[in-house]
Amino acid sequence: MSDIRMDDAANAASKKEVLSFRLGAEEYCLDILSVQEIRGYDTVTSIANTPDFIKGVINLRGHIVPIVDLRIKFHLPDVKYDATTIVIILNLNKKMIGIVVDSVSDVIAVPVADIREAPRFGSTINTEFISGMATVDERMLIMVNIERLLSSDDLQLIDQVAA
Amino acid sequence: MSLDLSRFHATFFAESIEGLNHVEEALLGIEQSGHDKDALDSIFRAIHSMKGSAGSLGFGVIAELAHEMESVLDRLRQALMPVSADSTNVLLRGVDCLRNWIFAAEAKGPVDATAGVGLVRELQLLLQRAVTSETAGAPAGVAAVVGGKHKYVIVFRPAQDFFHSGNDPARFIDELAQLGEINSTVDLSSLPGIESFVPTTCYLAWRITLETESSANDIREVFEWVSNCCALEIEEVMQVEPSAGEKNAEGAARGDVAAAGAAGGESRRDASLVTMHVRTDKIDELVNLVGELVITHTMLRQSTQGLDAIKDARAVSVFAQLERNVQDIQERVLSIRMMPVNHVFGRFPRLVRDLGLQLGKAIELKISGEQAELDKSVIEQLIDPLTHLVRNALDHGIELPADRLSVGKPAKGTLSLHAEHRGGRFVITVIDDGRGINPEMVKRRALEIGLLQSADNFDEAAMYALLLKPGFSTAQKVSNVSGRGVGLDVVSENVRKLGGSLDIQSNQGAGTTFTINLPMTLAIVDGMIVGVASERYIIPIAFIRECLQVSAVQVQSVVGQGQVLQLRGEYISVVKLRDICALRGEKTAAQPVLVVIEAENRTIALQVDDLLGQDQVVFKSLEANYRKVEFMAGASILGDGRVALILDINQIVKQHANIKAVSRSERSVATV
Repeated sequence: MSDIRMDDAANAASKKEVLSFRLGAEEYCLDILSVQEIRGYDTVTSIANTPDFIKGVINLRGHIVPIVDLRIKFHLPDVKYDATTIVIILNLNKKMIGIVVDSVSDVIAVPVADIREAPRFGSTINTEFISGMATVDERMLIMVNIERLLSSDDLQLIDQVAA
Repeated sequence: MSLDLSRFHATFFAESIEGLNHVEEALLGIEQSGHDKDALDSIFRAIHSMKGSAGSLGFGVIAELAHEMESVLDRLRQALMPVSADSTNVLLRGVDCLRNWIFAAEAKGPVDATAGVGLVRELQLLLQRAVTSETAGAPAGVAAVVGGKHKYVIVFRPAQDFFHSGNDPARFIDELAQLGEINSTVDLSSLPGIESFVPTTCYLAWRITLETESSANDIREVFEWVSNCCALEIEEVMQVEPSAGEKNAEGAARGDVAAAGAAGGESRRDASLVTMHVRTDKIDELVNLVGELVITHTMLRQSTQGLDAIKDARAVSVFAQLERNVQDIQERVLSIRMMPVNHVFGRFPRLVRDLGLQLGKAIELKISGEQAELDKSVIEQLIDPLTHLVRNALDHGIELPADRLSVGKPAKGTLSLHAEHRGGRFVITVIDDGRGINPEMVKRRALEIGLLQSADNFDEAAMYALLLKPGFSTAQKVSNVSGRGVGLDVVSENVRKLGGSLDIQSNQGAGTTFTINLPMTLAIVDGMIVGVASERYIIPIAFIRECLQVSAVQVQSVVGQGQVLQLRGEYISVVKLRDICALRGEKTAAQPVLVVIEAENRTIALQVDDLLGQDQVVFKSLEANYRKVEFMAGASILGDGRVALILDINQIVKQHANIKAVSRSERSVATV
């Protein structure tokens, strides 16, 4: 919540653009500014001795980028990889990470004023990683603090030494 | 105007720093080898072209100091002055000062001109001493004038009817030559075309520089006779610019186009032809793009595999050409970022010399492997840690000559710097033959400052660990060389930041060896691509001793030890890559291959399913976007665009040894 407000401190009247995606039955969204690109799921090179939600690494124009399957991470049923499987490549703190989700819906402009603090409730993603909620055109959106989610310890995306 | 010039500043800074590095190196070489005309010439040229550029870009202070250095250098190169420790010292300090100024100017900070005043004076003193010894008997009174000589620029322009009065310009110039050393250039600018040329008319003018002990009046007296039929300008220039070489130097400084074009301009042009300064991120982009190009090319090849060699002969040959071109481009581009490690090592001869003098220790510096190439960014970050290690070795390690003699060592200590590629790693060793590390002293000191709670369990490993702790120093007294307690921990930290490790090996009384083990980001690794299940891995070729097909005879199972390969009387334990990489799925190939690898002084045989080929692969760090992965040194992108992981052979070998040790102890427990 706080970081969303900070972003918009400069122009309070503005709207925040978010990318919405589906994970199981719920619709989540994340700050469009952290999205670098969206691409199809391609063969990954698996890495030994890593949790199963870390699918491996891909070559993204010369960069080695890890791919995390959030569906596996959040224990969703029917995880399959086909032509429609989507990877969102995020750019967080100059690190590139790809996340696999069920589907990507659209880019929505959420009026900042409509963003509310998330209540404590049982969603797939732990509320610790939810930065707020908003309702736009009757759709309830859950804002994910993707940075905090991906840097959490159990994801092991970042070197323990460096952290 | 200033905006206009600032475009050239970056180039000037870079060229100057390069030039100064060269000068420093050459000066040190001369100190060793004595007078060396070629080296001195090259130093002179470097300083000279720097002076020229500095002058034209408005860095007056820099130009002035460079000018004084140039004067001394000119004498040195003509052997008019002996190369002495004195002159080298002053010149080296000049180099430092110039370098500092350039860094300051580059950072747009203030240039501390006062630093140069003393140096200019010292340089002038050097010259003066040389000149007085040369022209022995020069009146003592003129010592106030630098070098005891005046320098004049005389412009002698005879009137057109000069010859009519029976005069000959050559006679006056000869007469000037009697007063001192002259150097003249002819001004042909008023010479008419051949059709209007009148042989009895004087069209010429001369620009003469004269170095003399005589006064301006004496010069005027020479021309007294023709004062009414010529234009004469006499200008005294304050500095003494001895003899030849001066024409160029003077020319550049005064903006004399003809002279500058001849000397200063040329050497500058040469330098810019040899090197060009490009931003590293531009090169990085290029490297990535070339990677893309290679992959696109591979995909294109796969989709055109159906081409008929006869029907599409043209397409096929064009394709082959494209393949060669792409390969060439890839090779060239990848080599751009690599630089010989000499860029770091090159600074140590100077450091060791200066420190040696300061500490009163005689030290021989041995450098080897300086041509080994390493990524530029890594090289830059190596400077600090290595400097630290070298200072450390000189200050703490190597003893004073007397102490050395008393323990039967040669008076001269030896410091060796060595670099080499060892597999996927870049290894630098700093070895001194000094007193080594005294475990007792380390223990005492550690207890003293509370880094160690009790003296129990104090072994070698514990000692090395202590040495790397912040705030630890055993130096007897704090000097400005080292011993302030900021030391090895900083080195180790810096090395770790580069993804490397620092190892210490010390023998008390015999010396200490520091080993920096670095990964080579973006280094090119010669790798063997091996297949295991459906995955491919890369083994750096440097680790591979041999590859062999497994036959039942050679591999035997040993109870509790796994499999052992018997190879020419040697027993080598077999490690399955499949197990290391926790690969499930397909069954082992019918004919697995054993890759015998050597690392950490151990040999193991790595069992893989298939050898897929050998290739030069670009090393890419996994840490850039992810983290360090166990048993993997990094990753690379293969020709088909997919990622293959590069095995960390050192870690595999180490880990395997541990597992073996554990399993053996478990077994002994079990049998008890």
